[in-house]
Amino acid sequence: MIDPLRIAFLGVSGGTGRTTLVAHVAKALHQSGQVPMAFDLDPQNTLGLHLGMKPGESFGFCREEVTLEAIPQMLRRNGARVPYLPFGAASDQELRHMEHRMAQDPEWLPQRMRGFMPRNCSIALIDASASTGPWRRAALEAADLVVMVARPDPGCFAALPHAERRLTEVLGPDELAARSVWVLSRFDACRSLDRDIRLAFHHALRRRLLPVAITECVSLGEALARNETVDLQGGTQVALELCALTEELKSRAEAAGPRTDAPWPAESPRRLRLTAITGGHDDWEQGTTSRGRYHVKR
Amino acid sequence: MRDSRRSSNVGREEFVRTPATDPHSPPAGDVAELFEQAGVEDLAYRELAAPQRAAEALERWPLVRATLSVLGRSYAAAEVADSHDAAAFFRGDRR
Repeated sequence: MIDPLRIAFLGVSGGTGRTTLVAHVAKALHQSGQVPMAFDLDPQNTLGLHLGMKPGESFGFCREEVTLEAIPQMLRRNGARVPYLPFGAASDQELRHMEHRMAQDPEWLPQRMRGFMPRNCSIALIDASASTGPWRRAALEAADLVVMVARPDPGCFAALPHAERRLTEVLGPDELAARSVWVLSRFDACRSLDRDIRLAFHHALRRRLLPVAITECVSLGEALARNETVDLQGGTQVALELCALTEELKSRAEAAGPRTDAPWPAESPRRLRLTAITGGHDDWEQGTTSRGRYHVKR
Repeated sequence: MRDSRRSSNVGREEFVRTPATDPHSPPAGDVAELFEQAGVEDLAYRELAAPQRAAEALERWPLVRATLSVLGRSYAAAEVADSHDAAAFFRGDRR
């Protein structure tokens, strides 16, 4: 069984549009016939809101009691059309407990993610926490390709050297170029400052800056206010850019290939099949391996 | 099609670049058509394609200059010209 490629999205700072990109890339992949799985690893728990999750939904990755059988129920309950797993609602104490667990066992988080992947999943998308800390680091370590999301503003550009140092620490200098890319979000080509900063990013990063920049577009916010994503087949500028970004990321992730040093368990439990979100989730089963419990769909 | 968000220092040729900003805006094809009718290229492309202009744009902002220095990059036109294959960048050409 081939492991899905894992793409982690990290924001250089808050408000870069990182979560919006993850939701739309997941949707674009799903519409192109792929089976993506989007994980929200940000305690702010906002990824699901783009994909139909109702505010107040507490189900998610961080809940110890969450089982694989319950994911389709949650997706159905929230009218989801794209497979995703929210972070869920956790108290500070619960978060600290999980962070302690991650520190004790580096395999805990990847093992947990892997257990929640559809068997035919081709790409896993990880919405990493905006704040520094163990969740963000774990997402970085688990990724085959890291996507740094930045706004074309001077603050994000000034943060570039720091972000590059952090990336180099985790990926290593040899892998940095192949396994990390940058994308500009909330770009407004009408502003000369935006264009200049884009130019500066390109000058600093060369081909690691993706050629497509995502336009600042009020329809993205309007879609979120409707608890959904924008229509990617509507032919609008931002829809075309999001589709182009998806293709570019897929291509870069395939070129990078799987990371051999990622902390994923060598033993592969059978992964669940999630062929249709809207139905057919009645034949889940669970079992155990030497690494713990797992759940699959027959 | 004028965009109220554009800053006052933006040249007259730039307004047609305004993208679709809501579900009711014209689709991208219409914007592209406007582009062609006005004979305007993508300004960002044009700036990247001209090293001298690119160097001037980089030099314009002290914080950008300082950050590029930290990264070991010069913003001089010669380096910009050396390091850029701007046309390939905007075509998404990965060769």
